[in-house]
Amino acid sequence: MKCRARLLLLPAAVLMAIFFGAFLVFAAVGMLTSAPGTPGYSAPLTFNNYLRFFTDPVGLGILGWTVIFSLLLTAATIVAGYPFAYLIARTQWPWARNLLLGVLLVTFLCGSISRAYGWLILLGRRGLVNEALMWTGLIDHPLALIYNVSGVFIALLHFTLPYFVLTVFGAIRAVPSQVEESARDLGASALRVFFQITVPLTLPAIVGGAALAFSLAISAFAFPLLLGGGRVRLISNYIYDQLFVAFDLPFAAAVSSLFLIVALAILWGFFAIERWATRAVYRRAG
Amino acid sequence: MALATPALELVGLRKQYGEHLAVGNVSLAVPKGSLLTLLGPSGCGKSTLLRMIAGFIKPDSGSISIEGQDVTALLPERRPTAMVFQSYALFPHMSVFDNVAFGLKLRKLSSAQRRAKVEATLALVRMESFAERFPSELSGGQQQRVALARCLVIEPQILLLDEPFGALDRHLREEMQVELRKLQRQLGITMLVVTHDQDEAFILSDVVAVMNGGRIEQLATPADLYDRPATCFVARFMGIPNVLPGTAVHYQGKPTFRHEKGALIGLGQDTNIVAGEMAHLALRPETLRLVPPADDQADMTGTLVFVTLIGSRLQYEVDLGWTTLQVVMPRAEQTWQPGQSVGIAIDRRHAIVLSA
Amino acid sequence: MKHYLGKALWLLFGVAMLSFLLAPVIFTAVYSVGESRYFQFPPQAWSLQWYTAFFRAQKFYDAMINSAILAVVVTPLCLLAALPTAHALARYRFPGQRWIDALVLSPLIVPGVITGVALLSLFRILHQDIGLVRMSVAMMVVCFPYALRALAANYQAVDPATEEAARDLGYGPLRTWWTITLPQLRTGLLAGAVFVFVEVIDNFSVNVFLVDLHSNTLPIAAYQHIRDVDDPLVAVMSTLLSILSVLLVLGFSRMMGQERMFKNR
Repeated sequence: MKCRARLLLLPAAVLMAIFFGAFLVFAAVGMLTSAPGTPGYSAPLTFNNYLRFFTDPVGLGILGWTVIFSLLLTAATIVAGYPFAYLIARTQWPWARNLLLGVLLVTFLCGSISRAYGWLILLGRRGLVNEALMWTGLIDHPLALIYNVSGVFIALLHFTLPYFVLTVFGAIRAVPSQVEESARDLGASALRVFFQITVPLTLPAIVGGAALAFSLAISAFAFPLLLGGGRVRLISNYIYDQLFVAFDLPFAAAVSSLFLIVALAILWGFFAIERWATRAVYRRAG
Repeated sequence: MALATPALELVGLRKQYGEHLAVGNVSLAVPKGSLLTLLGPSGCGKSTLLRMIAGFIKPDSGSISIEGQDVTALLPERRPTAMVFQSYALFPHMSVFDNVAFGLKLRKLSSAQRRAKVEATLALVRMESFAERFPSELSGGQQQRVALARCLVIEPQILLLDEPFGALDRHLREEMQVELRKLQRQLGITMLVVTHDQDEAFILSDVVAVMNGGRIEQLATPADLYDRPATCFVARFMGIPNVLPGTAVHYQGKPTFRHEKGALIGLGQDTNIVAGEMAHLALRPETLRLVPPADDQADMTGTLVFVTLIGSRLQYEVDLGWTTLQVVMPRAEQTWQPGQSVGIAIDRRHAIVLSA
Repeated sequence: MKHYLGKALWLLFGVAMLSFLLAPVIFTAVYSVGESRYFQFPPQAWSLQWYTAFFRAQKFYDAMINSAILAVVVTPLCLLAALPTAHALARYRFPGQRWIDALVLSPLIVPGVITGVALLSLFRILHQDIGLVRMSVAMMVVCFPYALRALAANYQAVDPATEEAARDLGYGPLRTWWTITLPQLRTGLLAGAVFVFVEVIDNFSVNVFLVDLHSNTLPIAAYQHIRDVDDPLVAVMSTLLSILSVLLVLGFSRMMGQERMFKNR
């Protein structure tokens, strides 16, 4: 019986071997030296690349900035996404729920480039938003909404929202509305019920969704590339440049390894927060 | 006298899961054409035993033989058993007809022969007009009949049923129990039923095996189980409410039961007891009578606390101070009111002494 | 009064969010059917000329072919790899199961750029220079978790007792899987196929590291076009993809409706 299970897991094992094998290789490559100006690299093995990153203010700055940006984006996703998920979960009309879920799914499946491009059109100098604002007389000349951080932020928010909402919506639905109703019945206002009943009960899903949004944000590559106009460089873009502009694979590999460690550490942090918060919530309950 | 080969014979079956003994040294023989029930509370090992017979669990030791042939090492698909699962386990993507025909497809039959068998079996369980429906369109009782038909159609040597009526409401359950029994008699098929419901076991069975903690506490006909329970557990499980703890002693030369609180109850002259040994006294409510407290037949006295009507009989609850006893009497007799002082007369022939 | 105000606010919020979500998609579609080369709202004239131009453009045509090849190769392979894995995880118990669960889902967490660089290093060492081969392998590794998650979720709804019942009636394990388990996995297979398909077509951050000169995929071709030219061709591509995704969702919900009929109880 056991050997049958092992046999069934073989395809997965092969794929995981490729995946982790690649990572082992590139961690090793990070220790190689590159021949300057060429795509080649060779021994001697050295930690120079790793050290270089820590002493390079540009690289460190970009990594730090990426982390902060991603955390802000995650916060915005939660603030915009949770009420939306709540609306979908609690609406009285099933057709509205199906419509909203359908729209979320469609946006989800549309693909990142299409949506990034869509924002490029909407937020450009001659884009819809600027045209509308100028037409109403609110502004005199077009706002620079793209080719800077704001454009990237808005487009990324649009990207992460469906992931977050679809993750959290199920958990909100799982809280029986009778629980909320009984709280109201006992005298709590709607706001109180929301913050003291609904949110705590859906906390694991919120953290899961936030972790997902954070992963997406921190890996952002196409969005800053398209909408940043060269002014917004996140860590992924920095790594890309090291590879295809400086042709320095070992350095790119070293930076990637460090980036991965930081990303995983923060994700682990998310789940630690969730464990702490869940315990805090339930402990207070007695 | 030639002994007929039993349809099913279990010898020394044992299954242990870590610290927990699920089935401990169970031996059993089921005669051909009979219906045996494995009766017991949840966790007693009855379902484990059934699944071992079907082949889904491998016993740690012991053997299983079906009509003389040792099947212990055989995989489920090779055993001549068929099981009706607790959840019915109908194939949701197949019609009722296809569900029933499923097992037949492995036998070498022409399509016409198969169709005839399926239709005949569906008629047997009164589901012939549902052949084209899907399981999600059927009620619980209907699904269960289809599950039964699916097993019957392949004519297994032993039919196993795992808590078949648990999910049905009471009325339907009673109806199905009688129907199953009639079907079993009609087809003469050997059946093994697992249940925790004592009433169900009594309606269905030729023989009942009462299980507890992985072992068989008593193997007997339903009547024997009730009249002569072998152990305390069996007595309580049969629903006998008056099971009193105490010691068997000799008092004034006669076998007597001394309740742990001190009261003495005389037993029949020929009652077998081991003096000084801890024991329980089981008094079935129907064998007790309420009498006036001063009556010389009264073995003990107390106050009547509660009266309720169950079916055509009256159930009395009497507080004796050191315990409460339940007495059941036909309605015709003199009525007693709560609060009255009453006496209880014991029929010595029916007082049962059980080891602890 | 307060009650109605609250409801009105919620309605407003819902509409605002809906508009936010749909705005890029809708206006891209409008742009693609306008006659003007630059974005205009409202468009002064309608035309399908850009659609013709899109299908005639060699680079987009090649990119479409490449993306299609990738999707057609990777999707079935991912499903084939995910089927036995999901079965093993759902039906067997073995030590370190939680670790294995986390492990097979890990490609989802790792940023695409890192996966791209790592696989590039691997391929450089193996001297594998063919873009389509590299991307096929990469997409298989990256999309496998999507297929696995969809199938694993489906397994929750398959009653193991139906498999036991088939065994009990005489069917061997393989035949049981084929006649009983697999038909009940329709939803998972479909959902998995859709997610893998969409991800393969859309993936940018991994594939951009692995393409060679001749194997641009649609997203990469689109990026290059946006960078170099200012016209609605990419709007055409986006709109076509949006229509595809709407069709997928509609088709999927149709299948789900049918599935409900098969659910036991």
